[in-house]
Amino acid sequence: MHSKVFLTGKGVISSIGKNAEENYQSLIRKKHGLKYTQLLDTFHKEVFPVCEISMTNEELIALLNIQNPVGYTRTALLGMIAVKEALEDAGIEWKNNTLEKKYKTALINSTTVGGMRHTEEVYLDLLKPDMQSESESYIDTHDLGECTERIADYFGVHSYVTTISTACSSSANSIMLGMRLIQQGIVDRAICGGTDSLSKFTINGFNTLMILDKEHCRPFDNTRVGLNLGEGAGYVILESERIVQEEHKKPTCYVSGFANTNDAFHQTASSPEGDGAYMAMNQALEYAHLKPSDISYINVHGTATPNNDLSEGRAIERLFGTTNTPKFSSTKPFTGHTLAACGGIEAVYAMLAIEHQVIFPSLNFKDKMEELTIEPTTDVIENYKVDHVLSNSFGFGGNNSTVIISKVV
Amino acid sequence: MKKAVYINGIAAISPQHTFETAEFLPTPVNYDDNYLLVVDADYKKYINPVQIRRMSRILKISYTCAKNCMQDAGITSLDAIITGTGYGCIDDTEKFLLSMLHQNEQMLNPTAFMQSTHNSVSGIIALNMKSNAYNYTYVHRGLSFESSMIDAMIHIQEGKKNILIGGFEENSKNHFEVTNKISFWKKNHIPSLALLEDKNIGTIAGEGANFFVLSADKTANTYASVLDVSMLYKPKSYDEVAAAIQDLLDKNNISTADIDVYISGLNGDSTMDSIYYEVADKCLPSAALLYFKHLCGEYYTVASFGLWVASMILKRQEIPAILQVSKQEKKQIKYILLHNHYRNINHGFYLLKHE
Repeated sequence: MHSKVFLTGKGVISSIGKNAEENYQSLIRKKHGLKYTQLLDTFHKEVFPVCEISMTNEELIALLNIQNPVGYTRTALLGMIAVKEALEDAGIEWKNNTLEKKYKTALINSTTVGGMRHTEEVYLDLLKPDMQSESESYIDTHDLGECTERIADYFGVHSYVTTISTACSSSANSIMLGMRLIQQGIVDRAICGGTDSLSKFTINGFNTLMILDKEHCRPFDNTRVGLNLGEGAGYVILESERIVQEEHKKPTCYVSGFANTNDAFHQTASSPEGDGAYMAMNQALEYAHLKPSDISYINVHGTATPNNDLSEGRAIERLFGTTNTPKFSSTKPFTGHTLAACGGIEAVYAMLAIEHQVIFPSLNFKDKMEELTIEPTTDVIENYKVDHVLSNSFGFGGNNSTVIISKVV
Repeated sequence: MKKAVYINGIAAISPQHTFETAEFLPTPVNYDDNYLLVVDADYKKYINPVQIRRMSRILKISYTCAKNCMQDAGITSLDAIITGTGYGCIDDTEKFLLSMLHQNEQMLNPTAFMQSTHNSVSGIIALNMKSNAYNYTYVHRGLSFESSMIDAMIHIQEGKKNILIGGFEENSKNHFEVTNKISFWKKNHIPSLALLEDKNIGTIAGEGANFFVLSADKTANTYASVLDVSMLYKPKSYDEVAAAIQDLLDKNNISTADIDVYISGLNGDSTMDSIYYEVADKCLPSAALLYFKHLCGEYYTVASFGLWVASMILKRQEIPAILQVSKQEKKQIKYILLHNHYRNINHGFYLLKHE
């Protein structure tokens, strides 16, 4: 058996709330975050609605009480807000460099855009010989590791600092690495998750792939045409059994299983039968020593692209069957697709589902997909016995990840 | 790490003649413009003609390198594919970004966007090798390749057999010009092979792809074993660096006197190099001091080229003169410490052993 690793804290910021409680209230009240962008100056601003966090960078900086706010990217700021909540939730002191006083800590961050939001604003200026001096502070913030180092420095993490980018499965993969580092004894605890801000780059990129919906996205609906982009950050704190005992913590959840596989089908599309997804879910169940029937709720990747939902749906039917399939829903209509952040945000939602014994709804579902028998849950189901939540995150490059979060008994 | 980890296959596509050659840095190539590009391989030997037309330069370089590395190790199936890259596919990123800005977000082509994703290299390796295995990409600046190494070594501890791991980076003119504005590169053009003679700030920009097969079992092709890899983030002083090295050696029951060769990341930047000299003088006085960035330039995952150099030295038991900071007498080489830092923010340490 593998040693147990507990989830002792969670933090999230998305278009439906700046902390876990606000996100929870929006989820159970069916309040989504979709609107036309107020903060991003894009040609498509009145074409493609997005799930944008309404706070400006200045407001985020004020919330974090940053004294010298030079060169902080929106991606870094969103990450810091969610990590702060996760640490506070776990009762971990971080002020005055105390975070690693007793326990070796890893920050395993993930992102797909990093500083792109700012790069795209200053890039043409940077290429001029006589660029403006304000642009200079965003030269070295472009790469994906930069936001991680801002977060590490703000909270004082130094033992293990790294960043993963496997497109939309990135933060699920960060949770898996956290598990493995703790099991190997390399660190005692890990801050795992991801952050991404909206950018013109991603809006245009997904638009060229023709997988953006001009309407509100409809996961697993027969009429779905694409996804809505979102922004946000979500992190969980993983701690070893030793810390939980020494600190007399009473966690509600632990990570019971995980797997990462590759579809090996296409650079940006999933295989029609969902082979990678099937293998990821199956291997995660095997790791957790669980049967498909043990799963109470599947938080599907459910982007609402024709390709993803068909592939994921078929994989679910193959593994879980078409009758007595666990309840499943996609929370993407609430938050939009937050790319690298979605695995972290949805891990927080899985914890909320277990803590409150509730299933969150899939919005906008009306017509069952003609290729499938199964249908997502469309209403909030309270007082539901939620013991094991299976969370899927799939990305470009054929990357398929499943994390199973279970209730501590 | 409890279980031994062997380097059973290697491949490097670099600004030197390192690919498909049995020789070890036979005729060093000099570059005069502080901007080093790889010596192109015959990519069409490795990639089919339909696919090759659509692939970006870095995808071709990396995939070719990965495939050759697996051939070197004599394996066809993998238990994990792990890559490390700081900027990912920067050329396609810039291409998409510039079209977007110049064309006011209209009439854009998806190919550059699809290939700009940081995990497109690990994805295309999986796709072409039909590998459903674990597939990760680390993107943490000067720790991208180190993170990949540690992940691969954990896989071996977990019982996996063969892991493909690679570090890659590509140079781009725009990126070079932009980062030149914050003094990453030397203002004066210097001959790359005389890198350490220039005492100004900045270094020379490079690129490359360096792949390895790490395995649980030793084979006839084994180059070396990796005893351990560690990372250090933002050390406040030399003492913290020395302590990290000591800690790594202690954990593996090796003394500083056991280290025969210290491969350093000296890059000719007067503000960055003193740490290596200090380690060489104070911590590892009996080890031969080597360097390699005059051959490949500086980039986020350049330690992967250092690992290629270390693997070759340990297997062949020879140190080409071009790598030596000062002339060394020939002796048996058992342990190597490879140490690279990126702007004194990210330090990586590799402890390697002759097999």
